[in-house]
Amino acid sequence: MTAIDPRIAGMKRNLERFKLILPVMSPKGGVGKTFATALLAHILSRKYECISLFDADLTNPTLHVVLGLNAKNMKIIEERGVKPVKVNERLELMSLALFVDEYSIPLRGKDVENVIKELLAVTRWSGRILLIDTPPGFSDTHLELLKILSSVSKSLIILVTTPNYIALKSIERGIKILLLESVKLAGILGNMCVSTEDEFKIESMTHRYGIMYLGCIPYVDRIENYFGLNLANMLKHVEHLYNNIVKSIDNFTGV
Amino acid sequence: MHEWALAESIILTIVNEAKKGGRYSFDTEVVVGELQSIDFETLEYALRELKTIAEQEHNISIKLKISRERAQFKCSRCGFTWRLADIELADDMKEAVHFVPEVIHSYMQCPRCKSHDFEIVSGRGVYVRFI
Repeated sequence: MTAIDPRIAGMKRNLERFKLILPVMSPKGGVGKTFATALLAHILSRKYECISLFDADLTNPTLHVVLGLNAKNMKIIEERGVKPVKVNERLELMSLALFVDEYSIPLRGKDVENVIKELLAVTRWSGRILLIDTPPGFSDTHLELLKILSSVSKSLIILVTTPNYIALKSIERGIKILLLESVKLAGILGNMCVSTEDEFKIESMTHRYGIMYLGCIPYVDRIENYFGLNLANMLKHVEHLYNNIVKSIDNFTGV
Repeated sequence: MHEWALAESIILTIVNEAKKGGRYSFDTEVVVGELQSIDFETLEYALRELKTIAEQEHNISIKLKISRERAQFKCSRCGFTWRLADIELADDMKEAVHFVPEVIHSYMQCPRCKSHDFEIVSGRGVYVRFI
């Protein structure tokens, strides 16, 4: 007797609806992946009708906080599966925070794999573009996502780094391993740049690996002031990112 | 109606097996883990409805048997083992576990050493056995 996990078929069906899946990754913690993911969602929602977001930082989900949602007010809505939480008219989010409120979620590798499969198998998305916020590192979550996404073949990874020396060293490690696996990269997004010199550090590194430089999100003091509805105020500072990101996506999707 | 999503995935799994070719009759056992607190009636109803559609669309025959599996846990710190029946969970916690069984790690501790680091040994969720 062979035992088969039915979630694999469900996951594949649910992910096939997306025109593009964009995991946001960085081997280094603290580079602002979550903020960058939220900002990217707002940027992309200008061109695409509905953007879906998946918080894959399972043991410490915080994307909902940056998007201005309170876990206590997020309700589970069932409709032949589970509906993502509406952030606004154009953004929707699925996060483990929906199920655990403000508790921490201690998970080992096998549990991580199960949570990703479970959520991707039951979530009824509405969007055509899926952005995935990932935890730092290159571990169970990333490996599981890369495995799942290899079977739907329409994913482009966005790497995030700061101009910090350690962050740049870490991102180079990430690039090398991803390029060895022929994983497709949308490009590198800088964060917390305070000068053109900072931008140059990131841009020159992308050129060494033949990867697109998507631009940089400037450093902002008291970032929490830009969470939620105020995130839209940040958009005027990152106007330059829009063209680069859309160009990278269009190159991939052949638009 | 989370059970509908599970039922759809189960039938889709059988249809995918059929598409691989050479097989038109499927004798299957759907094993449902206790931890996920699946509503059997809803799951059975959804499976029955979807099975009929799949059989007509793909010209196959599906036999389904549903069985339950008890949930058992083992502490990764002290080795203690226990069952779901040995602990009490509030209704809102049960609901969260129903959707994502692993969130039990947030709500349950080893009854002996109080660790949250335990393994779900059996009865986690749903899987399909082809007989």
